[in-house]
Amino acid sequence: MAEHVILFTGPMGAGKTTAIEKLSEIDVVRTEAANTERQVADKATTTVALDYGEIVLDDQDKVRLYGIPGQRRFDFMWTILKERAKGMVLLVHNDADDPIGRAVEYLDEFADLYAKGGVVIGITRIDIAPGPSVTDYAAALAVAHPDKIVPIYTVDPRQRDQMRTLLMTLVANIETRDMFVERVPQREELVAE
Amino acid sequence: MTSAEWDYARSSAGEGPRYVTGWGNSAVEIHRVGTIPVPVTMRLEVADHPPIVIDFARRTYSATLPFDRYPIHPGSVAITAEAVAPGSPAPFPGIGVQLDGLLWAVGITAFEGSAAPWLRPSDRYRLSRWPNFTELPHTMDYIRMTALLGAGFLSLPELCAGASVSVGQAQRILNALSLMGGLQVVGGVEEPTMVLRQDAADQPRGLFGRLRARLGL
Repeated sequence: MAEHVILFTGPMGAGKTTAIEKLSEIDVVRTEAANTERQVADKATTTVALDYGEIVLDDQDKVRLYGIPGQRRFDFMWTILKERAKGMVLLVHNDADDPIGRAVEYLDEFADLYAKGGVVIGITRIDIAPGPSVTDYAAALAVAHPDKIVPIYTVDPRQRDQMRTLLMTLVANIETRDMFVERVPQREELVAE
Repeated sequence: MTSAEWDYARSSAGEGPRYVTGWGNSAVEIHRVGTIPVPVTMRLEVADHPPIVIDFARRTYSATLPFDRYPIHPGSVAITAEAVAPGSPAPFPGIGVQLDGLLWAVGITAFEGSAAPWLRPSDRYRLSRWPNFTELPHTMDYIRMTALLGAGFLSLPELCAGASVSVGQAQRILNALSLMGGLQVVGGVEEPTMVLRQDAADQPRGLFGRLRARLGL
């Protein structure tokens, strides 16, 4: 059976679990515990191991959706899953402390996926914090990684159509990179050199 | 900027209304004024409809009607553009909405699948920034074409071949992205270092296509 692993990462409270719930065809497997960091994200529970959902393509093939915990103390889960991952949806809530810095931090952590075009960014909670803007994120990422153009969308994880747009963008971005090859110089060009 | 350059930029914005026909000619004016290197405001008035007011400096606009409530082929559009001092207040009350939404709609609609006049047949295109597709009406073909343009410089025929779309579909997105300032455009005949594989479009069982079918998109 082929598997296509997509990670949902980002700080606690960004909407990862909700995003997976909107995309998954099965009831999402959740591993939650009481949130002891209410000052960081004001919610009663938080993911401590992973969330899991899936989209079944056929009896041989599934898209596996893994939400991994946002807190650093659970980053052993990141190591386990990123080796298998085809791509990553990075959700960042705009009312977080230094949301752009957090985004850059995650992109550095998942640099291999980033390098092969396997990352999309969804900015959440813009209704609460309208800034920084998509342009601000793009400008900051261009400084950190000038050779990469990352899709950055404003999203509401509760909106299924927006989550599908995010997922399809990620898959398109990954697949199209494989459609290019290095050009072989023509004989005349080689002679001219 | 020297005062001479400033004066030239201001005069480029134009004075008094220009009257044009259709969204195509309006798009040409928007494209021209949008490249002027000073803050410019623009007002587009379609008969019997509320005006569309653009603040290029803040990349925002204001209109009380959505774009799809304006005529598809407006008989006359009165366009007024004015250069303003840096830091001038917005030309409309409130903060407006993101200009990309208007430019996307105009760019997709304006030339009905033909090339915008500022693009040339020999051009190659590469994406310089992703449009915020959750805020724009879009199809999966648009997402796929945008991803292709993000991966390398492509000509119009290469984009059509890679995405398995018609020339008209590909041209619409090139018009829109270029009007939004989201494309690098290079002319001439020099081949890029990375090229589309010959069998690039033969991927009916690719994950994108299968997910698209599964999700009914």
